[in-house]
Amino acid sequence: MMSKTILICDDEMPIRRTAEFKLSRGGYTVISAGDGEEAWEKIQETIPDLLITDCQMPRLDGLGLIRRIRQDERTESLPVFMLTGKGFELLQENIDEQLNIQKIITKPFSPAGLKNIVDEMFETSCC
Amino acid sequence: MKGFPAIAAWVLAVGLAIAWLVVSWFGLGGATAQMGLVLGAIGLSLAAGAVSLMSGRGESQKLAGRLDDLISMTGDQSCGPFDQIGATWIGSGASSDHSNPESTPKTWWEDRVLRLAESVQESAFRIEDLKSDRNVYDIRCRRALARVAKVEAVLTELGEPVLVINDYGDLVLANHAARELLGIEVDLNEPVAIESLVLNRRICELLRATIKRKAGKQRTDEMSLVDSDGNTRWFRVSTSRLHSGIPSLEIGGATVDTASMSAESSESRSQSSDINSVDFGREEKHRKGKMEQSGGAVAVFQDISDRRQLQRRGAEFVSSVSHEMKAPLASIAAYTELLISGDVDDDEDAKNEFLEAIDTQTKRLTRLVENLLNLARIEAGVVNVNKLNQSLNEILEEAANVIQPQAEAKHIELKTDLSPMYLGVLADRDMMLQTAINLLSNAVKYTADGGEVILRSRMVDDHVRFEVKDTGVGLSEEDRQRVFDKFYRVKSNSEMAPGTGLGLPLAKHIVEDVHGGEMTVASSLGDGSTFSVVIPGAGQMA
Repeated sequence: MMSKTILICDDEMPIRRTAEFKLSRGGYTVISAGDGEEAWEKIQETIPDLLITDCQMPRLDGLGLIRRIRQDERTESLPVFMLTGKGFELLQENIDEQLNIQKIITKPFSPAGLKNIVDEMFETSCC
Repeated sequence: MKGFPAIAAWVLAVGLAIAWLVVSWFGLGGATAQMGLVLGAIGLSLAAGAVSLMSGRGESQKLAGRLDDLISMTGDQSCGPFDQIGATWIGSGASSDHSNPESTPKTWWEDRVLRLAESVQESAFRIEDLKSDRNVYDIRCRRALARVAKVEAVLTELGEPVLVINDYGDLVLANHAARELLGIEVDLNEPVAIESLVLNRRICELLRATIKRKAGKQRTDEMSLVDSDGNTRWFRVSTSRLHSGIPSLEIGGATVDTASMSAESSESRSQSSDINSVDFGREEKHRKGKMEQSGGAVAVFQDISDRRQLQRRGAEFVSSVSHEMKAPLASIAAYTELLISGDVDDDEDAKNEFLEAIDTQTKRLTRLVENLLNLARIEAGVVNVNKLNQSLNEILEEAANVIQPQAEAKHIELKTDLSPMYLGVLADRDMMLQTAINLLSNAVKYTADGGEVILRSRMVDDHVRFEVKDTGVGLSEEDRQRVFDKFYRVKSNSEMAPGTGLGLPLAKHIVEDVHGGEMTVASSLGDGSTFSVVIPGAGQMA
């Protein structure tokens, strides 16, 4: 069975590195991008099974990237987790329902905890 | 019956009685004798009457003379105070034969005149009391009017808007600042419900709620209002119930209700044409025709826009600092967890990589905290400065080396164009290095991939100058003016370069407050920016 592909998008290299390290050890194929524009370019090449994106990034931030994804019929159903350091400013109820963000994860986060959430999401979607 | 007619009658009666006795006693007969007796009695009584008349005329003349004296004395101020005229007249005896003015009056008319004089004197006393009371009232009125004029002048000059309503909710006073803020243009000579003049419901409700409370009780509320220039400003509105403290006056033993008196004066009105005070007396009569004293409520508006903005900036700053701190902390936490969990036990390279990353992030976090502390110390004036004569170019080269990796990551060419001359400066090395690093870091952040950043130094007269020029996004005019404000971040590019908004304020503080120099920026939107620093030189070495 092909492993699931996860796109990690964060302007902080250590975040990308640690998430990529843990998830790849967990059997996932991980693609990383440093900002929203780079992530969108990589999505055009390969549509991932899950997008994990930071909120504040240069060029194109996380919310802008998600809006583009939802407006494209090829990616409108793509599951999205959002990473953010501004937890209180990005409460679930404040997010536009149209963005359809499955999970908001506040930083600092645990790489192991992130893997568990990802595992749970894929197990649920499979069933 | 009194007076000479009475005397004449008595004399006639007695005369006739004596005549009859004589005729009877002596047996005088005849009609002639009787006629003679009667005529004699009549003559005698007439003589007595004449004597009485002459005597009465004399007394009347005396009375008239005394009354004339009294009349002339009451009209002649030189006779002394009015209240003394009665006593003076009584004791003068100017046209009287009485030598002892305190003695009991000898005649009825003297008694009457004496009583008249006493009454006059008493009236004179009362009039003097009234005059005294009037003087007191005049003084009080003048003082009150002076106070009113002073208060009106204060209200006119007061920058804070002030509104006053009466107990019925009518707007009775609005100073110049309030009129400007709330757009009140009408005169307030007639009572008008506040809701007709002030469109802001919260203000009206706050004042109306206040007049229902006890005097002196305060209520406060904060609200945003749009001023006449269309700017939104925040105000803290404090309202208080007014005491109905218009004092009453005692005049001549009577209490005068001053609520019925006008509070205006021609002088006060001419001095403060911006204030339209209401004649409370007319107002009250207009209402119910009763004499009532008004209390009402006052609202004072305190502009707290600056404080609100500071709070907002502070909140934004805390949010930004928190976010900036979370980034290195998140990295440290993630790397540490992987190391502890044993995930890298079989990967020595990864282990070393993670340990180095922890070290880097720790230093990053440390720099952030130091920036914050330095800024706080400089602003508080408690920073330790260690100035030494040293080469500016050496400091700039070190700063360029620190930023080089950051520039390479974005494929930005970082060039140095340093003066071949020795540029000596009397400077705190760490602070100057921090300044150069901040400027270079900003330039790289705000320049797109593939751009260019130039670090240049020159000698200009007795000063040394260095500048950081980039080909980045540039600054709008508004951003250029505010770019050195603490916490300020360029909104259009906040997504591009996350930061705290502290780097430039800190750099400016270091250059200007610590080293006596100047930091400026030249920039236009889309054409990059040039940040320049000029500081006094410390002389040159050959």
